[in-house]
Amino acid sequence: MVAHMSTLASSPSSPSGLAASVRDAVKIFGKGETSVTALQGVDLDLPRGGFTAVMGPSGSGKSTLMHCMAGLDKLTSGSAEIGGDKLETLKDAALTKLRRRKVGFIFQAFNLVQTLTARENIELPLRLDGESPDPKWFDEVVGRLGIADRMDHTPTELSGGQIQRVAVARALVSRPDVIFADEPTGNLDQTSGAEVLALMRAAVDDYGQTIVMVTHDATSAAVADRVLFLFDGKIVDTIEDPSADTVFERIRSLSTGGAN
Amino acid sequence: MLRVAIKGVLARKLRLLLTSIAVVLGVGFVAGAFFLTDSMRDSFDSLFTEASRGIDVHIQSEEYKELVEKQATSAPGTITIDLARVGVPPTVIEQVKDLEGVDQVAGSIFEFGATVLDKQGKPIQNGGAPAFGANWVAEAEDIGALRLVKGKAPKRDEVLLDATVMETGKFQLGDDVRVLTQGGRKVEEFTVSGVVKFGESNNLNGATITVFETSRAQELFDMGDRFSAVEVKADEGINQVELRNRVRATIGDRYDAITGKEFTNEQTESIDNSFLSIIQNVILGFAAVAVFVGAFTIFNTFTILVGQRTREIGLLRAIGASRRQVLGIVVLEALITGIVASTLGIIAGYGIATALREILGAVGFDLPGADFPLRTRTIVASYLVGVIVTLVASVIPAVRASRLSPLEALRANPAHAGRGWKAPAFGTLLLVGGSLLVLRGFQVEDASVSETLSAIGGGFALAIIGIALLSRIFILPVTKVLSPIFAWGTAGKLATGNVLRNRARSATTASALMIGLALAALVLVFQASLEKTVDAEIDRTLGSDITVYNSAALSSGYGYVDQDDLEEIKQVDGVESVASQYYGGASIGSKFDADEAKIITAFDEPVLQEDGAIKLQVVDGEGEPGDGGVLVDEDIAKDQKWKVGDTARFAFSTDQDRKFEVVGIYEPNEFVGAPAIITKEAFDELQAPAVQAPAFTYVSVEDGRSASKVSDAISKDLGTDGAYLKIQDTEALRDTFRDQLAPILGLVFGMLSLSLIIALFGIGNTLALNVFERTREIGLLRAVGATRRQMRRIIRTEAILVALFGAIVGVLVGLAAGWALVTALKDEGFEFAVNAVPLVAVLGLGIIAGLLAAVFPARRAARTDVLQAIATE
Repeated sequence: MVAHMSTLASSPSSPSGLAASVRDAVKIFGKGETSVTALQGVDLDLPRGGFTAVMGPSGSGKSTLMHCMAGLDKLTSGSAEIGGDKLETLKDAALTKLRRRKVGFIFQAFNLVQTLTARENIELPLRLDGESPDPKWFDEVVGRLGIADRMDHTPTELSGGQIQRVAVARALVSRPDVIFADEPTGNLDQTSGAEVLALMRAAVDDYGQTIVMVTHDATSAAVADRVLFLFDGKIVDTIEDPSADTVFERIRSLSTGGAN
Repeated sequence: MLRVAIKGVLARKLRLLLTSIAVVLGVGFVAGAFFLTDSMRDSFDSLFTEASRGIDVHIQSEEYKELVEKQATSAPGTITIDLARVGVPPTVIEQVKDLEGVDQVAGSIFEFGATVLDKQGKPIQNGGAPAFGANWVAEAEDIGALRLVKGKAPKRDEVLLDATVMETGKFQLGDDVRVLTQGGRKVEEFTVSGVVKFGESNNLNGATITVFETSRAQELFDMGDRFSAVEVKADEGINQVELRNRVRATIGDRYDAITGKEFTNEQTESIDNSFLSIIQNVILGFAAVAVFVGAFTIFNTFTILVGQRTREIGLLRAIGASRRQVLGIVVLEALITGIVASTLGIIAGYGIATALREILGAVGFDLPGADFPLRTRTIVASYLVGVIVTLVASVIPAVRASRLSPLEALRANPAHAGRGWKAPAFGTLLLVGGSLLVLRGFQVEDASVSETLSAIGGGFALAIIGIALLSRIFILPVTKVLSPIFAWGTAGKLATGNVLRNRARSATTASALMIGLALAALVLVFQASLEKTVDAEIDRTLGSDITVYNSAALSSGYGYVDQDDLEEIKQVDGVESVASQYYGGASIGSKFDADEAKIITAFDEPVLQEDGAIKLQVVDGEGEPGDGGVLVDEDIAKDQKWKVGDTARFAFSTDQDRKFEVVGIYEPNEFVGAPAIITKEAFDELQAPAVQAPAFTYVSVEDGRSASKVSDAISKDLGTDGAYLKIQDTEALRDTFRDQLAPILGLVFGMLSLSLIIALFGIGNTLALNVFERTREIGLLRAVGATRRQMRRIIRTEAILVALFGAIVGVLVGLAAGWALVTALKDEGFEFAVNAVPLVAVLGLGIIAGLLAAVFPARRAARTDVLQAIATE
């Protein structure tokens, strides 16, 4: 396992080549006897234009890792970087602006503001910054995601798959350094889920977007360029160019290994 | 089930407490009203007990008593008491003096209208409390509460002052003091010979008392040799009832004898029915506004709380709770909240009563009384009000909760409420019904005051509820208009979305503010209209340049101009002519009936022509009463079917009556102020001496002279002698008319502030609940890049939009109601007018209330923990 981690750490890492990274990331919740260590020294580099899936059982620390990398939560020790900004040095307002400009999010549920139309939801991070989207890029994205005709609808008038596509569009439209997706297809039926995953894949291939996706599902993970396996707050394994079968097998071996 | 309800309350205690602040305030005013009036009643009780010291039998004429009572409730000037006729004559004293069992007898004088002037010539008066004049009965020193604590009994040109007047007027024994006497007709100078206390008190619960030598007092009050009453003290061992019966047997029917105890009770009763009940009703009015506004807040909170607990209710239903049980839980929670809030309200009542007493004391109305007694009636009323309001406000949410099917509830999806047709339809019904009720209140003429008020008040309340229900329809267009002005950018768009998300909720939240502002706007319209009306009336009817009258006339309704001062005014440089007006009561027919008494007036100069002091609009016949004639106004002419040439018969309080020839009919006229005008000669013959003094004096200045300069010259010429007078040019007179509305305006703005406070809590509470309900969405916004400042701005803007909506609807409703009111009063000469500045100020207040209400919820939204908000587990 140590070997895997050092492999990752030694992968090519000029600052410009990385969308985001963490070094020696430790996260401890609570204090004293009741404290829980969620991350215990994770090193991870996300090269630009890569699609990384993070897997692991419940409580393995995958969500915590994502939150800390995305600037939603602070590491107890270690450092996290997005697009050259060291997150631990930033105050709340600066972190918020960083999320606005350099990070995109796709959540499993509650992705859209109910009172805004699809278009307004997509434009939201830019509008909060007082900017407007590049119209060509906007049209390109919504066209590509197949939701161009749904722009004036509110979330209540959209299907689950459409809602997630709007969320993908929102994440893409500000051209962030990295998009974090937390179980983006968890609430969708298989067909819609597969469509959303294919669109995310296409964003990486066609636009060079960097995406990190937390998932439980081996089939979803197989869409990524590589899959990281987290266990007890550490990266225990990596698969490059995964397929559903290899991922599935690795999960099985890890869960039996992890039980020891 | 009780346990579920109690836990439910405890789990939401802060929320419910915030909500119940409205109930606490409402109940606080209910309890405060009772505290204050009970305390005052106790004080008057002990005062009257004090006053009846040594009085075992009290003798008075029945007519005198009736007249005093009527005077208190009639329009000023209509009832004059001819004491020389209705007082008790000295023969009664002679009759009673030697009766067996009689120890002492005193002829006592105790009348309104002896005002002490301070050394600058200004009347010494505590707020609106009366100024009494009394006599000193040296030979019956055990009777009555007056105690001479310093100095000696008064001779003819001496007076005793009460300890408070001594202090405020900075008088010493032996000082000269000027007293406005004969109901304000004359200023006379006396020497202070002593100081009296009333039992142990320095004054009479705020009223002043000046004590004269008996024959002098009889002159001052025009009572011949009579007395206000005769008091009898019994020998040791004689019981009051026994002595009373003996006295009755002796003096016959003409005069009425009652026991000292009955006398005390009568006095307490009369103060209860007048002064105390007014104060009580005013404070209860505040309570009604607080409770009414509060009910909206409570309704909203319970609706939201039930909405938030839909899943919990679904679970309860799924595991077997019946509808009735779910209903019971919510109602029980309301009951518990109501009981807790009422308890706090009673405590708050102490604070409110104390504060009111302090505030009134600070503006010159010292209220008597010390401790606030907690009576059973206070407790019962407080709990009834608090609990019933809370229950009523929670019924609809409770029923709604109980109607949810378990599955529906478990699947709960925050619905977009407020778009159905039922609520607006019901609202329209209430609005129409309420308006009709108000209209009826205005139209039914024979109804009692309380019936009229409850019809108008109840109708207004129903109409307001109706508008609150209807307003969810208007909130969409109004917000669409307001948004571009007040809600800019993305934060504004999000705020607008939030307001429109649940229109019913936003509309109800705004209602609390709406009620207060509707009230304010209504009064502002009424005020503006009244000012316009007064201005127009002054222009139409007043021909003279300066009006002179006794300042006491403003507060007590009567007061006259001293004859000597009148002569002096005539000599002032620039004065061309002076005419005076006299007022007295008269009733139509051959027998004087105090119940039906109207004012009859006379002028000592012919002033009613086109260029006279008063511009009389003559409809038919002559413009002066002439010899033996009467001019009547159109209203009374219509009532009595009088035409020019007819005979009109009037009876006067002096027991005389006379037939007059109707020589002219005029339009009702503010400055004539009476439905009938007779000649000064007839007036002098027929009216009591008490009213034979100028009530108003009209001064015309020479051509080219400035009215304000001449009026200044008159003031200067009279010096301190004239300080009791108001000497006003037309401008100053206008201001005085306007100022008369000031107390009512003060009251209404008190109510406005109260409802603003409650509305503020209501908006704050709803916003906080909204923020709580939208935790996830706020987390999402924060995640995708909304800063804390932006979050705060969103909530603030939301508050402003809701508050403005409430304020605008409120002001519009107030304008409409004001217009309706003014139109209803058209017959009284009212003209509709609106003054924009205060209305805009009131709107501004609404925005400020919204901003204040948003402080806490906005902070809370800004502090929302992003991770917790977006956690999917």
